[in-house]
Amino acid sequence: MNKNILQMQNIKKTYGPINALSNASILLKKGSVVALVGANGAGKSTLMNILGGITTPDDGEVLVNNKKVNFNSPVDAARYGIQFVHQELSIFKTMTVAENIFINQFPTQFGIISKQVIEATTRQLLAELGSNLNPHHYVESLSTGDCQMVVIARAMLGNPKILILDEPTSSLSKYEKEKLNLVIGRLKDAGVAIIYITHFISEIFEVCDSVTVMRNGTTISSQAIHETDNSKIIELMLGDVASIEKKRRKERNKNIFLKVDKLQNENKVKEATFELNKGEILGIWGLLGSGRTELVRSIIGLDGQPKGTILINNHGKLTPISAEYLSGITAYVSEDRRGEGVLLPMSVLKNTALPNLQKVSGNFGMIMLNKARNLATRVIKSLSIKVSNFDQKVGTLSGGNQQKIVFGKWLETEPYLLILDEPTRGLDISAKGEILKIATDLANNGVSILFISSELEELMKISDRYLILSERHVVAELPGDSTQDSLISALSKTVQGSAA
Amino acid sequence: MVNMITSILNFGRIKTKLSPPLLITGLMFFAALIFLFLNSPEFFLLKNIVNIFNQCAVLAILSLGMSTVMIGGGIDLSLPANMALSAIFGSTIMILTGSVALGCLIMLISGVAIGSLNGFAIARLRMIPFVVTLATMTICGGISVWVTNSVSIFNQPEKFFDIFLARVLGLPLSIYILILCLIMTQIAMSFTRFGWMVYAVGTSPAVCRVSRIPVKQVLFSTYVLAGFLAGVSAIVVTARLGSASANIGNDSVILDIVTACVIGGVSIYGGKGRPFGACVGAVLVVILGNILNLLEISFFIGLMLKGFLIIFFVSLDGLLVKQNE
Repeated sequence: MNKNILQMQNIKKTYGPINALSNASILLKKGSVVALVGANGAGKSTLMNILGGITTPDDGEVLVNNKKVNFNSPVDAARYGIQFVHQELSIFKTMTVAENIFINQFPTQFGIISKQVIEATTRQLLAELGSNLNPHHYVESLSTGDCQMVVIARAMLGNPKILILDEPTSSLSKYEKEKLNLVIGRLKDAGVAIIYITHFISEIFEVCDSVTVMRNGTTISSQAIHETDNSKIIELMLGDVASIEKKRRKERNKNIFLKVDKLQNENKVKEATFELNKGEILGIWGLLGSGRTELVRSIIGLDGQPKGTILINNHGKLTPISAEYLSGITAYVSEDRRGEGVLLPMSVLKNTALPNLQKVSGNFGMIMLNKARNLATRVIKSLSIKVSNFDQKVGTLSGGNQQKIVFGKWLETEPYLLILDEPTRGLDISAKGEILKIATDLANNGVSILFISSELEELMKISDRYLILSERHVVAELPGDSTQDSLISALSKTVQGSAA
Repeated sequence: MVNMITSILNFGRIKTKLSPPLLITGLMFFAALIFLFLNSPEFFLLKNIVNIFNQCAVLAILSLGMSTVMIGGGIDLSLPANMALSAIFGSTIMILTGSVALGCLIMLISGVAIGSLNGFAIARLRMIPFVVTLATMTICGGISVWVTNSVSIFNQPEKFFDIFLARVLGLPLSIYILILCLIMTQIAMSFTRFGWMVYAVGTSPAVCRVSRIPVKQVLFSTYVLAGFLAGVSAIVVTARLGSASANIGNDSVILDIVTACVIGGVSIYGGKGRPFGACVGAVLVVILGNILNLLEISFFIGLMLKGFLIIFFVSLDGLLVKQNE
């Protein structure tokens, strides 16, 4: 039980100018479960990709059974008994359970797959995991939890010593989670060591023996589970925020702009109620998977038709409006800049014109090129975007400049509501500062802002008030002068609450 | 090898500002002209050139329609069948009523209706363009054979031919119709709100959705526009052949349209290309056919050659997409 099966020490990895890992370590004992936690971009994925042989480290040592190893591919890693169960389950829906399990190593005789062998082995594997799935069943008819079982069984086929489970519960029901916990228990008993990556802190206490916390590419703590608790872990994950200088003046008249009442959108958003004042920056604070993005997308109707009421201040009277109407006066800066923000192969001119086509066209829907050019020039100037000319393709710009294009094209629509979903993701420090500056300037000019960020520091810098989200519910609201501690404890309280 | 091709292409692009497929098409065009000059100088007689343009009018108008659909990220395989069925409907009405105007109107309406059907299935019901238009193609083809019993419809009113076979300033009317369609489509795609939206939707529907572009309406409109152009080509083809039949929409026409579009620099991945390019492609396809005739090369080898051309240009397209990423 006390034998070290895996040590990763002082792992370093850089991608271009970005330090993904600066000093990461993890220790794993035979038959134990280690939770690996950290905020977005803490380096968990990079560290696990190194262990899984998907990338190679720049520096540092990986020891399996106290012997130094170098993995150049996932096959190398598998040879040392390391199996990776990714968050996105790699499942072939039109194939059976047995075929899915054997997908990368069908046993053959003279090139013919032996059905009896794969079925017998599948039954045996599933029995070991305590599952009674039928090997003949097609995977498309299975629940997510059963699909996960299939993927774990596939990993078990490689006879792993170390199993990496990346966010295994993110789409499981409560019952399925309990079932998964049983499976983890069985694997532990069989001597398999497990690295358990999760954003749901409460789960750690159900299945893990110890917890390793990462922040900014560094391992900052490894403790046995009984030596720590919820709030300590969350505090470690988020770190100390150096004295935060509020970027906004304090007093503001309270003039309600938007009220969302009991908004419900399938299982994405549950009974969300909140208010937003004119010219206010409302910080939305919650862990990944708490439903932050889903909430803001639902109010502008991007994810189907939500139930509930959206009201807007119409000359001092709150008037109900549709999600489409709200979308018409909203600028949405998506967290997926490349997928939803900019048209990479198209010019700055066309990107900035996109939501403003009405504005830059005249009779018969003809584009007025000079208007479009003026608009692009205005955007480039006002946000000081670094481009050679407005015919430059947006794909050739830096991330920060691409994001400014997104801001710029929306500003030209003169929005009343601005939704910022992780607007600084993947940007360098100076670009981050500029983006926050643009947001505060807008709020000072009366634009109401919903601001989502995983970085507490930047959230605290500009938010006037906070909405706390947990497990798809709006659970609390905190004033703008809340301390870092109160924000962190608001989260851990809700986490504890949901665990109970 | 691949690197060599791309570096040569990039060099050419800097000098000419043309996209690589158009550059290659231009070179091919030039080579074809030199070949013709050496082998059959009579090709360059004004009469023959006019004849070539007359021949390619139908193909070029259909390619214009296809280019708008392809730029929007789709494909419309039903265009030739749409043209044939519209020609048959219009001719029948024209013969029954004796009204040329009504007959032509019916051809246009029928083209638009079939296009709308495609557009509705693809934009509203989110069906796959390839499958939908393949089905529409079969349905239209089936109706065409059924209502005509595979017999050509002759005896359109003389007035119809008087109008559409008339020559203005020495050129047949079909060339003017083509030029009008080209100018209209090119303006619509390059200089209107609609056109800019089509390019954006063809590049990324997700970005467009977030940017409040009415993606469904835009997609629908591209198929309607293509259908309308199929209706126009129905008029032109009926006038030129003196009859309407199921056979004018035979399978080789769709091959010619796709060839014209891809060698004209219209990307099958959407978001790239110009109607003008498709038009140039159509002219090249017709000239290629003439050269093959001249050399007494079999029609079937011609088909093979077009198939290879499509593969070559599509792989070039894929190469450029990869390079851009």
